[in-house]
Amino acid sequence: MSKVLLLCSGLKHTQEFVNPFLKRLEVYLSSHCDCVDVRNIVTFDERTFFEYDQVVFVFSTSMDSIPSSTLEIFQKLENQNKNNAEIYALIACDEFETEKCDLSARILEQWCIKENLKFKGSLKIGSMFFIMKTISSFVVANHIKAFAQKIIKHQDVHMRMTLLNERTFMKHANKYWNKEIRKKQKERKKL
Amino acid sequence: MKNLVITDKDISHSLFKNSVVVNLNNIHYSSCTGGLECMRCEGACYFKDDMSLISQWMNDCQLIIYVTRIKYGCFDIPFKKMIERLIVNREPYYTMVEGETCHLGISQLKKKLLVIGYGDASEEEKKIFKDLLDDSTLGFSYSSVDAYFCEEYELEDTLHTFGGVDHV
Repeated sequence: MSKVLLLCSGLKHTQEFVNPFLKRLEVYLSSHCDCVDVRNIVTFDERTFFEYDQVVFVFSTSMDSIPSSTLEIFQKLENQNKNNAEIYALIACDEFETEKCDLSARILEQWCIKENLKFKGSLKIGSMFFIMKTISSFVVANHIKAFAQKIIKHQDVHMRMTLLNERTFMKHANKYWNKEIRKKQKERKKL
Repeated sequence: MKNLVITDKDISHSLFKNSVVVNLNNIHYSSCTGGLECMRCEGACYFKDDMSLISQWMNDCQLIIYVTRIKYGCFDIPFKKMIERLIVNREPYYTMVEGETCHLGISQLKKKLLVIGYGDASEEEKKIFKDLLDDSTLGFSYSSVDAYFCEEYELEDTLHTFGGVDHV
């Protein structure tokens, strides 16, 4: 039984986009771990990092790479005791291709190498804005469950999940933005 | 519009006479919160600070030079924060470019990007950084993207080598 930290390290308002994934991961891990602690960039205290056996960074990519808020966490941890924690990552991106998350994973891995931590892999999720509003949400849930099981068993993991195909993505994606923009225009008119 | 040099370290302005040199330590800009309000409001960012002007300049100039520290194969924090604010220069809708989905840049003016990265970076970190530049410029109309690396103590000499590049 180990102590796990789910660290939501994305930019302040991107946390709402990764929350559906984070909640599911928390539920799956809670049933098997002694302690699952969920923190974000505001509530995270770098002095307690050494207390955890496993740390899962949860964030969405920002301008195609790791968000500055995660880099700030790296900076805060530079002179802290890290106790050889195992590092996992759940990385989400808004594009169709989960390969857009690869750079963030590689940067995280570089940090682990420099800090002598064990990078155990990641789950990469594409089409994050609307994947949970489609039929693929069930598949995502299964992937998150499998990811949680790998964490519990301390195994390496390299998983990725996105929408079925690019055509479905383009249809949902541009519909999503049309809706968001129209909603904003209505709000502005009311004001 | 003049060319634009953005740096996270004090550099000699005389090296880039045809450019506006922006030192990130001397300007005021807030961190992007990632709420994507700008994409919903036709590129109008919630924050009204120095980045409002700089993001506009970046659309209009033809040569952009970044002088940045590299850490873990990525931009260092001040630079990364500045880059995150440039999301206002992207369209919300997705387009297929070279078989990949991406957001197109608002400005389709052809421009060149030159990045001078300094710091103690390993070969792997340099490779990651080059891949990062390739990925982040997809959808923008860059005619060339070049990256050069040096140690921090070599930066002054490296900048002298590139001094005058903005005359072209």
